[in-house]
Amino acid sequence: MAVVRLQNISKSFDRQMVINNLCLDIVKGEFLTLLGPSGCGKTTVLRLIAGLETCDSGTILINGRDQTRMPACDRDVNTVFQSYALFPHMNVFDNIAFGLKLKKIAGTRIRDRVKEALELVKLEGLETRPIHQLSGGQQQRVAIARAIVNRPLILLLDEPLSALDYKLRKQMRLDLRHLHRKLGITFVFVTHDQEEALTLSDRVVVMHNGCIQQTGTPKDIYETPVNLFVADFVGESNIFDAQVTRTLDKDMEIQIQGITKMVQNRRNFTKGQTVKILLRPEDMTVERTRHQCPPGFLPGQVKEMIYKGTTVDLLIRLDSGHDIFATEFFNEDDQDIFYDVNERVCVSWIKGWEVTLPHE
Amino acid sequence: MKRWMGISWVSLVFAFLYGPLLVLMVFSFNQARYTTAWQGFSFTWYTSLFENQHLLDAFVNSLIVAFVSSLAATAMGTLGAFAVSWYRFAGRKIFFGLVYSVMMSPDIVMGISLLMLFVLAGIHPGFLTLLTAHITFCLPFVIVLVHARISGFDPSVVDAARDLGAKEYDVFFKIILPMILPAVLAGWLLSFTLSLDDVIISFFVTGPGFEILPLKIYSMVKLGVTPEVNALCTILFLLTLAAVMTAHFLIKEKKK
Repeated sequence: MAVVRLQNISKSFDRQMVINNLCLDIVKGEFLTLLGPSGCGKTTVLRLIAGLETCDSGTILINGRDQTRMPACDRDVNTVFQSYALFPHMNVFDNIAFGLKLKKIAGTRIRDRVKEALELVKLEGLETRPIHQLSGGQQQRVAIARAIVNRPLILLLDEPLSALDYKLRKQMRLDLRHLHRKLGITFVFVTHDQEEALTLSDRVVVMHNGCIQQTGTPKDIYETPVNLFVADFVGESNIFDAQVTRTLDKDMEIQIQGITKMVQNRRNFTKGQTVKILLRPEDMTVERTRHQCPPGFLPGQVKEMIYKGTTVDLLIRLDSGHDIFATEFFNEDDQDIFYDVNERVCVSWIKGWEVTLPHE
Repeated sequence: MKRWMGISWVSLVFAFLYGPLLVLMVFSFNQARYTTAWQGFSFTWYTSLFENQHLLDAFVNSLIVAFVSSLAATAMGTLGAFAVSWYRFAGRKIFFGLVYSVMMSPDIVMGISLLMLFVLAGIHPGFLTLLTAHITFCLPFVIVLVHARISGFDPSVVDAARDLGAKEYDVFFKIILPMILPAVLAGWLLSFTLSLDDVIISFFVTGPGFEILPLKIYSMVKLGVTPEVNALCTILFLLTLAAVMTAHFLIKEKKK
């Protein structure tokens, strides 16, 4: 059963439509990420679930009950804010105990639960520390402890890692996953960072202009994006225009950048149709050549080589004038992945690794 | 050499600032009545001060006006600061600009305009007019102080409090008020001192039936500076100093 069900939600600010007829089911216990560029409405969705905003139309069901008009203070949902929003006039203990005190829970039980929450976020013994004496990472952990100590049905996280440095962010990612498994509650996470979304989530919801573009597992989102926006926003893509020249059973022949090539036909494209072919840089195969490229390969020239430690990124200008990226990995049978600038190469890919979308 | 010059420069500035006050304070302990020559240390003028019923009455009146007007200005100013910081309404910027202009406008202009207003409205000058005038000139200081404090904190703490189960009442008394309290207290103390030592505006708006200390001193000085006035001014100065220092401490505390 869905722990949160958003039905036909719309919301405008100053006549500007921010959420447009959005429907979403959040499964109990999952780690769901709302991913999208800034201004896509992902934070507004989070605030609507929290009750910090009210929607113009639509209904919000939490645990099967209609809570569309219920104020934030009565909802069984807690939020970790982007700026942490800790209470500066209170110490760590009072910050974490704030929600429990409002619920009129006995003092000894509050003490036990705050201690337990601090252990979960690995901040044992910092109860009496004033907020302004904590580092950014510690403040982040206090903000998480303050939310989970109330044992909410759903934990909402609004870009909680964006203010941390790279190393700390990676550590917090692991800690969040661990915390999710340990608590077993539903996490709804908002981010514009695709790497965060892919590594953390059970399911990713890609949003753009107040609408959901695609919902699926990180693998679905990355490997079979349903449209150009998702393909472009999540990871890098090389995008080509192509034309279907022949259809066969499950395959089809296309005309692409002046050559013909066989690709899979997963969407019943018909002869004569224009399509977009999407290829991830790591799916490109690059071969050196002195002469003509073999059939099915696109000829081109290396324009730039970027060394990244575990990989080498190549910027290749095809003879048609189209620039593409290809990522080469170090491996044992092909040690030599360094190319010279202006070296002639042939580029191709394995049939079936491409994503084919109708022309928009 | 440089150090020596620095010290003498600082002493010069301090002498300039506090020299007159020091003279006044020293002579408040002088035994002589009419001369400025030192004739020995004594508390005479302090005791005679406390026997002067007229002066004491004026002092009590001043304290009443200062207390009530600063309290009213603080309450109104805090709400005003909230209005400009939390709500978006037409003319918000103009309102804030006007607050500054009241703060900057010369006392004599304020005094005369208030007097004209009271005359036009047909209100007899006395306690009420004085109180209203004092609230008027204290109000901008409170608004500016509290506004600075409010705009210094993250508005999402209020969302966080609501998210954790706080109702409007809890949000105000457990989050907002404790966070702005230093600025509110500082505004109150500042208003208190402003009201206590105001001469010019009070001169225009008070009536003969209600005498306050600064005006009483002013009228006494017309007949020559008596040692009692010295003693009185010393007490007044120390009182104001204490209030201003407390206010300063409260404003500074937030920057931690």
